[in-house]
Amino acid sequence: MTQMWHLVPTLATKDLRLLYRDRVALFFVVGVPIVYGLFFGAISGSFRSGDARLKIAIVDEDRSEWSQRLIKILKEEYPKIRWRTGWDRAKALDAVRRGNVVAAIVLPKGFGDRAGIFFQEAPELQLAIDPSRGAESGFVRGILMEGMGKLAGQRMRDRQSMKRSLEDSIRAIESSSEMSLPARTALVAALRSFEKFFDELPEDAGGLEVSKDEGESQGPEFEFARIETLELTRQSKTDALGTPLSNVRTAWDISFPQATIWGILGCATTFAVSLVRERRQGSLVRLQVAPIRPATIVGGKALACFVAVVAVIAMMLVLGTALGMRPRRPELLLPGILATAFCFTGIMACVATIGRSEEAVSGAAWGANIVMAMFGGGMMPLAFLPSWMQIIGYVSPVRWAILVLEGAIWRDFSWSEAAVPLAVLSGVGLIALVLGSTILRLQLSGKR
Amino acid sequence: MLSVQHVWKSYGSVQAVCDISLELSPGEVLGLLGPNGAGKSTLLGLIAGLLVPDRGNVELPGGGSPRDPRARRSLGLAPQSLSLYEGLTARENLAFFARLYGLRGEQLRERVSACLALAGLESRRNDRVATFSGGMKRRLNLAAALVHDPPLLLLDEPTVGVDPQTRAHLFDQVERLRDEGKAIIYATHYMEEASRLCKRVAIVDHGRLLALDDVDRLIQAYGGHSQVTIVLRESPPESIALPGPWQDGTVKWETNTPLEDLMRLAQSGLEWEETTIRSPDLETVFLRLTGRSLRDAGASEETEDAREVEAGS
Repeated sequence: MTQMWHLVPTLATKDLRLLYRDRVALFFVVGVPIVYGLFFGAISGSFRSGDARLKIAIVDEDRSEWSQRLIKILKEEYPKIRWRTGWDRAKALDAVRRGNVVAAIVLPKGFGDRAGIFFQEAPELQLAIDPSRGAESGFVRGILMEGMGKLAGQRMRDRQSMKRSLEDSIRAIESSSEMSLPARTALVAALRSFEKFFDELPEDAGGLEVSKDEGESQGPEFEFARIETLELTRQSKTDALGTPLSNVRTAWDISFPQATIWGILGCATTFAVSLVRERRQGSLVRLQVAPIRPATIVGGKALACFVAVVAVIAMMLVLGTALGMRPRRPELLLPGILATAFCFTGIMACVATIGRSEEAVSGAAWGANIVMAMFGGGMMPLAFLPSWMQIIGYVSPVRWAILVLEGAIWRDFSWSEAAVPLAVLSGVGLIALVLGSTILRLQLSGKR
Repeated sequence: MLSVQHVWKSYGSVQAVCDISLELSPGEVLGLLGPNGAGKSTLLGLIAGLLVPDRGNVELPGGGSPRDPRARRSLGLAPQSLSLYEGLTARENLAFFARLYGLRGEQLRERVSACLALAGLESRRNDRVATFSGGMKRRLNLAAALVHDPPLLLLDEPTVGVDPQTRAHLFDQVERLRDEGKAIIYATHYMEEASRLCKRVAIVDHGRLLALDDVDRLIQAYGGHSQVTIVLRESPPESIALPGPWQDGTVKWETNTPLEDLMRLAQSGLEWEETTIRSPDLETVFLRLTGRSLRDAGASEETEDAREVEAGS
């Protein structure tokens, strides 16, 4: 057993080195999936915008100077967010329902009258958030309160505006019939003292400063805004598997799992053919004559295939991420990669037993690959496969491999949803590995 | 010592090896002669542990069956096909095979260097095998069998397709290895190689061991008489008794005493222009034992050999 642990990596290293130096094989394993992923990602760019930035709509029903100032502040402070303005309330809320924007902020009529004035009741804001984007909810509220804080700072510095607001407030209190006389007198006196304060304030005093910390707080003394949450139900188109297509954030989300499959199939076929090539070249005879067991030879080939598949998937994920792909469930990637690599390593061991010539094995392997890919979503994305192909695809390991990768990248699978493809991949891998390695061991030991 | 006892192997109805027994001592080169379909490769496969005998037993030097991976440490095989990784360099090939035999660190480096020197490939150590000539590959193929320094060496047609220079190099190496005490089985088509390198020769055909003995004793036993041919200047006088028929100006006959025969003819007054004496050799031994020429049989049975190796592996 100790010997096996030393020798399996030795054999695998040899195979990986040979793969690295074989430019044609390397092209099929590395080049093809990259070209495929980039090509199909680029041509299906219209499927999604390709822009992974956060999108927020602002509906300005107040159309006042201060509502416009708030919009300007938000745009300047957060230039990386795609701000959608100019929509009416209905359009903005519909966009949230459809998942086209993460949130809609509604500035209702009268917002500007009270926004940023600390001695008045806080203005009301309405906020609608995509229920499937809970993580972004806190962020949107935070930037909104920060914007309101900055708006309050600007308003404090605007002496004329503050004086007009004070005078409006004093007139409203003096004419109020609902308040008692002593209360009216006390409030008016207090507001007069503020008026006096603004009169005595030097022209260049700069007004009151509101720190960022204050802007972000909502203390009992002063509230920048009262945010009313609008409850929405998400409406979204779903694909044949029931996943909302709005989950897809970039075209790479679809094209890269698909492209990765071709790299995986290339790996499995390359290593299956390499075993037959060793038999033809005679190097397999040397391995058989060496003081190692047939299981060790099979193990070396399997380890090399497993490592190569893991490397191909990792490479595609890194490339996809660099292009803007953002897996929604990154914690599912590792088990998905391992299960997929295990599955196709087993398939490689089976394919290697099919024939005795490189041509036979290569032909059979690519024939099977094309069928598996056709019904498993390797050629046309799973999301768009017709239902009858989806049904046939259940027997294709390619389907489950793509599904587990898509589950982590854009389908937003839960662990229980991911358990099915993970179990299928592991099960197929185990059965294929046991079957393939048993036949190979019999072949290598001269008993067959 | 290698011991092969009453080994049988068949593929379906084809009996590839029938009841073959042989032994080999350290420092001895045993020639294995026979056309490819004769069962020679199957016999090597059985000795190397690539095949399981239907009956009989093979014991490698140090004891143990070739089916036991540990026992196979005592064995080095240079297959007829060039069993090398063309994508690896000469050094990487040797290091890889050395690791399979458990060599590590300084010991591995020493053995790899020694084998590169043996193959005369030190200057090409870091070049990929794909860039080598046929002769260089053949030398490296032998070096790969020696990298773990085994006491028993199986060489299957080691000089196939090589130039005379490489052939001479390989002969020198085999002789050196024999002198170092290694036991070597040398399978070949070429009588001159077997005659030069092997003290004993085993002749195999149709899976059967037809003869196994010292070369001289085989020739003595199976080689028959020397063949003498003389070309006469003119028709021989009727008074002289010729030892063979006169035809087209030549007289041919077989004899155990060619010089004495020629002396007697000269004393009787016969004059001739040319004399050819052909002594019996392994070729004649093979011809006598199998009824056919070894070279003709070997050339016509290449495909049979391929089928045999295929079935074996």
